[in-house]
Amino acid sequence: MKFVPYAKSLAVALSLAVMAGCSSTGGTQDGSFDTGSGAAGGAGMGGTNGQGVSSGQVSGSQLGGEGSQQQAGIPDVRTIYFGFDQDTIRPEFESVLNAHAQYLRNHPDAHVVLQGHADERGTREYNLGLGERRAQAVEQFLSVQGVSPSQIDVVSYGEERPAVEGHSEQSYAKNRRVVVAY
Amino acid sequence: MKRLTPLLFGWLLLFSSLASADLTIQITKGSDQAIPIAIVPFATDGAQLPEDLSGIVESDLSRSGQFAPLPRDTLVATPHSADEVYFRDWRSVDSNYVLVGRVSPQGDQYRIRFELMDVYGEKRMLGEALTVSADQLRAGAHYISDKVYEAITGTRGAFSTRIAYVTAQGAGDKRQFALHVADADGHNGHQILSSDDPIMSPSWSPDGGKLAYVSFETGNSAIYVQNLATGQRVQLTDFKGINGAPVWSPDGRRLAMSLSKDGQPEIYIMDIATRKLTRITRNGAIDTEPAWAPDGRSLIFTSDRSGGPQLYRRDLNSDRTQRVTYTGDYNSRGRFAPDGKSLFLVHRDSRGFHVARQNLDTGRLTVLTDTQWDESPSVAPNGAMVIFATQRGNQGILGVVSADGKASYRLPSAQGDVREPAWSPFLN
Amino acid sequence: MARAKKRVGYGLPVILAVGLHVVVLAITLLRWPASDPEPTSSAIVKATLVRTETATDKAQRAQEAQASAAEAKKQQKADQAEQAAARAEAEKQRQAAEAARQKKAEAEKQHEAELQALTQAREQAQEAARRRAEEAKQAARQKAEAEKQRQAEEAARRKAEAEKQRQAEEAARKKAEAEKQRQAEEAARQKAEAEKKQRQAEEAARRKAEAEKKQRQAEEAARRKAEAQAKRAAEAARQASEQALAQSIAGEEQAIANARQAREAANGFKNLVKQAVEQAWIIPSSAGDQQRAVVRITLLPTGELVDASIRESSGNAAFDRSVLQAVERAAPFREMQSLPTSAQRQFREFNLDFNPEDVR
Repeated sequence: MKFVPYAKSLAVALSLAVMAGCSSTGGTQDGSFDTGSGAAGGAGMGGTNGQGVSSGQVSGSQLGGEGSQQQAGIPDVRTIYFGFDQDTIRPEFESVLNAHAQYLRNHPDAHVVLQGHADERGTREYNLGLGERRAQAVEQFLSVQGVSPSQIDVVSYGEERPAVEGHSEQSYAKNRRVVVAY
Repeated sequence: MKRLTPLLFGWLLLFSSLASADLTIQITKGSDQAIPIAIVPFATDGAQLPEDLSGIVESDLSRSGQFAPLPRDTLVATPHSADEVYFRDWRSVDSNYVLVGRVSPQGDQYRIRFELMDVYGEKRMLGEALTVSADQLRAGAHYISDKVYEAITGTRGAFSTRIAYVTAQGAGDKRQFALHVADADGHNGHQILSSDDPIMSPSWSPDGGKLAYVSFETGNSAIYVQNLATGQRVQLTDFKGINGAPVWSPDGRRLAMSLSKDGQPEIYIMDIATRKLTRITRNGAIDTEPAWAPDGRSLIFTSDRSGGPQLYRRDLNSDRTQRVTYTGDYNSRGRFAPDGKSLFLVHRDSRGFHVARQNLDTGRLTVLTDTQWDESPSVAPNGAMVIFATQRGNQGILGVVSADGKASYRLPSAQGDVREPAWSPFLN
Repeated sequence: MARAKKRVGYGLPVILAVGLHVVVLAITLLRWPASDPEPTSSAIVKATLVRTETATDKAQRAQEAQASAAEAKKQQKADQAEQAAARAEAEKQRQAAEAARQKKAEAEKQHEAELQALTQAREQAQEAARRRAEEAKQAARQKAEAEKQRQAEEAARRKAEAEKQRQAEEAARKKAEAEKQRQAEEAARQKAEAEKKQRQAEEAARRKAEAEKKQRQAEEAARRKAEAQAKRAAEAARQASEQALAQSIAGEEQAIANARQAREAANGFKNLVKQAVEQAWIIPSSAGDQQRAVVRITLLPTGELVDASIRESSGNAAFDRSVLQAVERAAPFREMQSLPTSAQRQFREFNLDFNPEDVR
């Protein structure tokens, strides 16, 4: 077949192609830190997440979203409440603790401090003991659910850190609590 | 003979009524009024003193609940020494005692002379002179109060002692905590520790030079000992779990404390020099809030091993533990009176939490206060008064009640909440 | 018209075309180095070498080459230094990261060790608890059996004791019956003896009475004579003595009435003193239980206090002082002046016994 009539158009096309290829400047800015941003399935925050993130945390933040706030994956509800003079886990809070247990089982590197509290009635040092009992009840619950004890620490603040001031039963009910702090 | 017998009978009757020449009238009760005393403002020879000495003595003695100083506008005379005192003046205003004195500046110091007169005995009971510097004037007045109190009641005065307490200001995450030391009347307070994290349970060493306390500054409770003169401190414990309720032994060498490092709060005794721990309780209950008997041979502590908090006594020689409180379902935070015969504690009844006294011989419990959220009772070293924390509206304040419950007063607090008071031992 | 086919030469157009392409290429190549420095100046970490080339001006190039060579050497040294620094920092970071990892590993090991110890302790505690529970059950069974035996034994003992009691009661009844018989016999004997004595006494009395009758008859005769003489004198004396008796009785009744008044007044005064002193007495709070003091008090007839002193001390100086003050405050007792003198005498000197009843 005759090549000649197509030669001109081929030559023009070739020249255009060469010109296009040479005029781009390429993408070599900040090259080394962008390996994460290109990963598929990211929540769209990958680009801004890139700066200053150490290698240890990248694995935790990348694995999908469950409706996260600051860090993706940790359950929202982190305070459970107790009845007067009680340290038993009420049924309505079992699902909350189950969610925390599941998160902790899936993230063996995650660590929680269970902060125990009591209401203001009675003497302070005895209330330190009551707060600790409640936090230990939560610890027991989590370990039964399979959470490793190395991921849990227990601290009691007794009546020293009330959530709500006041002498009413409602205030007391809001202070008898254990906070799951990551 | 028959005529004489009626006469004899009559005389016998008369004689019989005279026969009890040693007549005795039985006095079986008195009044528990406060003792009236006239405190005449001391002469100052025209000098302007920075402190009103007789005013300080007046408020010391009236706070004790045992004295009723006469109001100044009812003083019938103003003597300043024993020879200026006319006893009938003071009998006419029903005053049992008169205190007079004189202050003379001497360079940058002051010489104070004071005399205490017994009005009905018509004699001088007490007379002394002391020299103090300007910043020691309050201490001089407290010394006079101590001497007057002891001369009249027979009990040593505790007006020259100090108190430690914790304050909390602000709310939520911005709450600031501080540990303070002040005179027993609340004056001359200064801060010895400030923190973003809670401070609890101050305890005075027997020589009055150190405080042990609990601080959460490391994120968990830990026990510290701080030297008050130098400000230096040592962290004594950092066990896992609760490190709380430190109390000094009477010989100053050991601290009893509550540690939950073995699963739940238990009582331990730590030798301060060697840091060696001796475990005292061993059960699944909360055992906390220990206190030493004045002879150092036993401890009382709070335990809920019977279901609710009650006080128990542990003999350190025989290692036997015995329950002490049986009234009501909540008794905690016991402290010994200095004579070892009674305990001051927190008792809950249907109206709330009160300071109460339990007699150890009879087991009788007497409620001393009618406020509702009382805690942390601490006994003065003369056993006459008890300081404690309570609530007034929404503010935490300190209250003081006499050991028999008859007199009480509040200590003023500037801002925020005040709690956890501790009364020092005798310091002089 | 005839077209003559001319053979067109490809050589010239090809040369021109190629030449055009070469020119175009050259132009684009010229642009290349001009745009290069911009991106590299915005890079923070890296510093890249900048080279300028002009294809046309060789002379300039030579000079510039020398200058750039000198600059290049300086920059090379700077770059090397920076690279070395970057490497050093990178190494430090690596070492720090490794150290942190090691610490975490150690901490985790410690955590694990503690947790293992805790779990072991828990297991041991659980086992110990199980053993104790079993032992407790066995002990409970044994106790239950022992108690059954004890109850059986106790039931047997009670039966034995009940029988003993019955026997004792029967013996007691027999003894009581025997004693009743004895007492009845003794009573009968005593009655017989008493009746004998009475009969003897009555006979003796009869004899005496008969003798006395004879004596009286003789005396009566003598008396009748003397009575007549005495009657006259006696009547006079009787009148006189009756008058004297009447006077003395009247005086005695007054004395009794005075004595009653004095007693009542004394009681009244006693109560007054008691109330006044009790009102004036401030009991010191340092008083222990069972405190007691006795004060001796001396008054003038006007009721003023002459002296009050401790007769029996309580042992507590404050208590002693308080009782003296109470007396001194309650005095003077002016009501003493309205006391009858007989009563006043009691209160010139007396005691006050201070013994509070309800001390806490």
